[in-house]
Amino acid sequence: MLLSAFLTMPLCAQANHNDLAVAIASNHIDITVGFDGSTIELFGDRRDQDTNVAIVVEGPKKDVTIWQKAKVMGTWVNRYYVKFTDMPIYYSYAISTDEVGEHLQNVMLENGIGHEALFKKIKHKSSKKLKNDRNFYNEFVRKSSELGVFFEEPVKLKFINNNFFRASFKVPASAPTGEYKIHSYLIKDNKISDYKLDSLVVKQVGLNAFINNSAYDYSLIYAAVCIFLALFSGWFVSVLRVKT
Amino acid sequence: MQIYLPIAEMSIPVETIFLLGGFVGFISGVFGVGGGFLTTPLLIFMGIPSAVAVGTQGSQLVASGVSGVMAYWRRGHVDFMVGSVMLAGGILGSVVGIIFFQFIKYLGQIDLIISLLYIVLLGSIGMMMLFESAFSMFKKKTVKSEFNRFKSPSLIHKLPYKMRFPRSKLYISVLVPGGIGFVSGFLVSTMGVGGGFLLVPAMIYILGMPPLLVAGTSLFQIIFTSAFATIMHATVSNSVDILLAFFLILGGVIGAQIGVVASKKVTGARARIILALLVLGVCSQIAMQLFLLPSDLFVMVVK
Repeated sequence: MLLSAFLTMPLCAQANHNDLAVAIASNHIDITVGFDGSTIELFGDRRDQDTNVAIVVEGPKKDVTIWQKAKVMGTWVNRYYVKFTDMPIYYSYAISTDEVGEHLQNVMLENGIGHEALFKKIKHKSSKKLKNDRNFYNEFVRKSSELGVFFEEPVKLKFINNNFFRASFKVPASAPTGEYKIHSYLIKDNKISDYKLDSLVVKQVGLNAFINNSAYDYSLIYAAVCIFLALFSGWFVSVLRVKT
Repeated sequence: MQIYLPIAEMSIPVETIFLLGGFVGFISGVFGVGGGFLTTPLLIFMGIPSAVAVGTQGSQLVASGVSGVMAYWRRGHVDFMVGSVMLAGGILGSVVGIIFFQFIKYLGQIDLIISLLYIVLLGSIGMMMLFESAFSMFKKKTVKSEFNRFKSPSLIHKLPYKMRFPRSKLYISVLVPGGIGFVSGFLVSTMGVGGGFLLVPAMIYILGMPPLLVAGTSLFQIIFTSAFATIMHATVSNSVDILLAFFLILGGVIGAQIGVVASKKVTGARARIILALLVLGVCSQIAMQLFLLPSDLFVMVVK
């Protein structure tokens, strides 16, 4: 799959006459029972080597609440909160240069590239008497980074020649399921000169998918099966006890 | 070996779940308790979302309940009539518990409420068990009989809707066993514990049931209440992970067999002291998280 994406890439770029061409090695990541993480591999080609390429991978969006504990009557309870709506719960990005100057930084901020830009873009609501919302966003970044679903530092694009590049984004075992959007930007003269949007799906397959779908679509039958399993196990143990 | 749990949506070493199930099964085999008070907090310590831990634990309680009640049933030590009335209360308690569970989840205070409930319940039961066992070590042994030496409080006998329970030789208001069942149902759906360690003394001291029938009858009631709580959790919040339940039960089956063998060496008051210390150990662990400065002051909730 990787090889085919690699071989067809220059052809795609020429055929479309675009300044930027990007292809994902696979448009799905399958979560099986033994899933222990994976990677999103993509290849790209830019026509002009005097341009910069930025790629952002955004996971499915959910509402995230960050609570801060405070001491109330001797106990540590969730006291203050900031709720971020439609927050991508997986976020990673790559950039083709190590030197991000002021102008490039501004382009990134304006176009939602990098976690600084994400903070500006995301709507949030906070509890009363809370002065520092930014601190809660930093905590979100820290906690998500610990889970391996948020990457503060950009991934390095690997250039195979002056124009052809490759990027790998880690997807941990704890990655959320759903649609992942891959935004690819070509930046020329501090402006976005080309943009591509691709997507891939991280989904449970096989036994996992069967269990997950059953739990949501046929929850009553699913519950009955769980209880039958428990009843059978309990009966089996009692038979074993009598025999021993 | 890592295993991906389809409902918890996380990967976890299968050996860890298996060992946890085995450990709880062992405790269950040695002491004759369901072990829910250990499984749920330990699952949460392992990183399983609290909703999934509580929801899944119900099915394990069904398994341990069935294996226990079969043994008592063979000896005729189950009062199905009292158990059925308790069950009616238990189902109502489960419904209230599920609504309460959803409400505290909405408030974002699920960890606080669950922790406080655990501290109050485990702390009081553990202390009572410890004192009772320590005193009984110095007393003569008593045999469990068909008759209850304790008289239930006089207020209990003034309650309406009285009913005769021939097997337990009781003439008492249905509100009493129904109320005890209600508490049990509430505990199953909010905390994932069967509450056997709370039901047994309540049935002896409040209901006035013969001690010989208490364990079997409470387990009978716990099976159905837990099954009902499992259905509610599976249908209302989709928080029952069958794969997690399977490995917990599998470990529990093996652990329980080893526990039964080990129970011959640890009996009577000594066994109850060990169990009391275990209960207090879990309680103090939860209390420390609540009362001492947490290592992380921030909590993330994704919906």
